[in-house]
Amino acid sequence: MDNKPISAQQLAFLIFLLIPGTCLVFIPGTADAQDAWISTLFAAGVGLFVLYAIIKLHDIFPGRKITTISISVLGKIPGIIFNLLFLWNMFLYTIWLIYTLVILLEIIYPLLPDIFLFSLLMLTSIYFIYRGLNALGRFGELLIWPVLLLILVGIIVAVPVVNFSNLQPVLVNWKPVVAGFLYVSEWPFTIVLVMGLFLPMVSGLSCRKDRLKIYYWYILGGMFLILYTILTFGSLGSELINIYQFPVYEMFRLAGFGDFQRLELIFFFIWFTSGITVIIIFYQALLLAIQDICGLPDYKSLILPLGLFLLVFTLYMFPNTIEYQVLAFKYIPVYMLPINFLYPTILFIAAKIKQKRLTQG
Amino acid sequence: MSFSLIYVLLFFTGLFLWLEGSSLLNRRNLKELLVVLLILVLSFGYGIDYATDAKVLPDPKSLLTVTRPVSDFVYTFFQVKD
Repeated sequence: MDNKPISAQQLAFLIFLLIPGTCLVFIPGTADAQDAWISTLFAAGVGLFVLYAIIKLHDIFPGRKITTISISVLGKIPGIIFNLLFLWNMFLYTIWLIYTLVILLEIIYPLLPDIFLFSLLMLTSIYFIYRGLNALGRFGELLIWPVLLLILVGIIVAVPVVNFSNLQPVLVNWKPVVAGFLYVSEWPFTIVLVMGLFLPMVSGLSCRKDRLKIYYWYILGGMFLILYTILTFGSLGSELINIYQFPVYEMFRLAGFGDFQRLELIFFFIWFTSGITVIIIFYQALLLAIQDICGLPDYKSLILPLGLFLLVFTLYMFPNTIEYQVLAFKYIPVYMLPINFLYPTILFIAAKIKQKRLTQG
Repeated sequence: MSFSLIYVLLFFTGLFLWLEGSSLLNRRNLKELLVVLLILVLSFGYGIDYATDAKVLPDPKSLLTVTRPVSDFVYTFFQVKD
């Protein structure tokens, strides 16, 4: 057993948590209205390819992060340019996630100042990062079963309020399906690219059984999203989904057993814990990327300054919910999808060519 | 809200100096020191700009305007509802 901080199983759990953790109370395929589940189904394939590409890249260059591989296969200047775009991408995701979790927390703590919630969230993440990668892996392992249980409870609770006629007509127009496919590919599926920075710290990747677990848990995450998309569209309908800010939250507000109401508060456990896990993953990934790009021996001294940087820039980039909605759901995806998809694809193709040339040589 | 951001800036910096300050100086790694300083300067600059509502620093959101025409095209072409 090699001495690495995360096991392949823990990585698989973290990959699963990436999907509910980034979607939280949203349905990513709303561009596609009632056919959102079809877009989600196809988009899961794009994420699967990205996951395959980063794992294969790690096979070709074992023990190296994706940012180091980029410089090796593309050369110094193109490699650095791609790495900086990737870094900017991860930075945007992180601040978007921080803001999203804070506006969600404001539902339960409406009287607390935003800045207090932002600071609390950042300090919790900073504490986790100081505990090391092992703590993150164990947290994922600890969280997975309660999250799965609550997801199952969520399905059982939501089924009675679902009206399947809300999912019809199916495939009336191909254009929204393509739009939905593009948006869902970007968020949440191709986000798995971030794991390219963690792979050198994962043990047991050479074992086929452990490696398959990573794919299985990713597919399970995709299935979760498809199911929740069907349930949310079935219970609310596409018109209401477009009006509500948090559709999944509203779906659980509708659900309940007799006098047992306000079930949505139970699901805050999933939203908060999986959300903070993803923030920690991205925060850690940013640290690893900066350490690698700047050639630093350690990232420990960057933890607190970067936490402060993220806090300030979340406030600066998203000064209000309207700007957040426009930037996060309209403009950022178009910038992010090409990077999330092309970065691993180009690296994968270049690495394969390089490997072939070396074999021939 | 903006006013308390100054306290947050000071709190985080104080915490950083307490936890990492001495070890960072002892290591004498110039590159590490420069990266840390750059991050702190940017945080303070933008933090104060936001807290005082001065808006004198370049807006990082403008970096995203490069892809705005593409986003608008996608929205129009694929008939996405706003």
